[in-house]
Amino acid sequence: MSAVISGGADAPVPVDERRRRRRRRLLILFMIGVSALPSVTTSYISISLFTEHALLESDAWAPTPVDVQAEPAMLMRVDGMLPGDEHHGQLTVANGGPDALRYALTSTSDDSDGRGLSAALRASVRAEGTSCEAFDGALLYDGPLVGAGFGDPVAGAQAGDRLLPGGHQETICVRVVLPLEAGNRYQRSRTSTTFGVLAEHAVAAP
Amino acid sequence: MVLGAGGGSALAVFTDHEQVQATTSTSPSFGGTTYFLHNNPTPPTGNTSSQANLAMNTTPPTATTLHNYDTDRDSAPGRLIQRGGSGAGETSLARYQNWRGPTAGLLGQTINGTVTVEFWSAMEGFAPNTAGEVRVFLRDVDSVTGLTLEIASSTVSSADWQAGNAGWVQRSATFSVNHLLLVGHRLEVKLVVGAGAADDMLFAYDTVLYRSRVRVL
Repeated sequence: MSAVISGGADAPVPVDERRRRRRRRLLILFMIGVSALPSVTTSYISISLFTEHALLESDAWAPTPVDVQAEPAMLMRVDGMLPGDEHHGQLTVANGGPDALRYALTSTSDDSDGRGLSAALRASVRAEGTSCEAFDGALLYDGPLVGAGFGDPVAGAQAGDRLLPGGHQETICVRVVLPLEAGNRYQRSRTSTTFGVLAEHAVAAP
Repeated sequence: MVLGAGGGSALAVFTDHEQVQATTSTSPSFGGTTYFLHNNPTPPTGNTSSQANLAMNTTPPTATTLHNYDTDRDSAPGRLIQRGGSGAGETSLARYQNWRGPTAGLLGQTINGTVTVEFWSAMEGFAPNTAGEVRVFLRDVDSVTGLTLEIASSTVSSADWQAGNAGWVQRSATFSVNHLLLVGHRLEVKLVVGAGAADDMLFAYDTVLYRSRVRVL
């Protein structure tokens, strides 16, 4: 004869049945606990691994800013040129940063009197070589003063771009000639040219 | 100047940009007579000590190297003139440099028009932000007696002679002249560095790049 517990208005539940249900609940909880154990262990190991690999330098992914300097501010100031005259200037380009940079030289000319002197003047640009006086370095540009330059300021390595290691500087020699055949139309004419040195990080923009 | 131009991409491209200026102008006229200032010997083949009464003539310079023209004064290329010269009558070669042109012929030589003296110069040591002052004298010299007559003078000065230029600087002095050089007389140009200069000054001439000259239009 089985014991019976009466419980209010509900039908009485046998004691054996209640024990069975309790055992079943415990079993389910145990199985859930057992099944969760590998997941908890894996998570712990993963977190441990990530914690160990989080020892990267804080600036490991940050490229240093590019710092290019060009001196002097006035490359050349020439007055009273006559046909056959030639003048020169030298430009020092310095990389003030620790990383290599790549740079291009561009120019824009302003012929405010409308006579087009910048197109009549011939410009040559060379690397320093022995000296700018000797003007025997590698030829970087030879043509009209208007548009004088080398390389390409577009991001990335372009033909003619020059590389400058971090902390280094180099001298660029510029020579301007008024050809003998320049006619009288260029008398009393003037041009102003702005040279631009445009540099980019040599590593960040391959 | 540091310009950081980071975009939204994983690899930021940093760029920087610097500018330098160059200005060029031509002579008001391509005609006239040009006398180039030379050293002795010319074309220069090496360093020399300083010399008075150098030649100026219509032969353009051909030398490509600027030598030291005053080994008795310094070791730098060109000619050093000490500041504080007294004027056209300065007699100390340390404080002036002069050039003399061709001797006028039987009919003499009339100079009637604009005379421009173009010279290449620099502050000693190419010192930036330094005041410079050059006094330019045009004189008539009697080749026989050595007597001189001042025709005109001008002072070229600047609070910053180099004006941002690290090398030689071209300057000029312009005169309006109407003068007759008699037979046997010569035109002389004399440069003196005035007391307004903060330091001694260097002069370059007789090379392809540094064509210091006198133009008569």
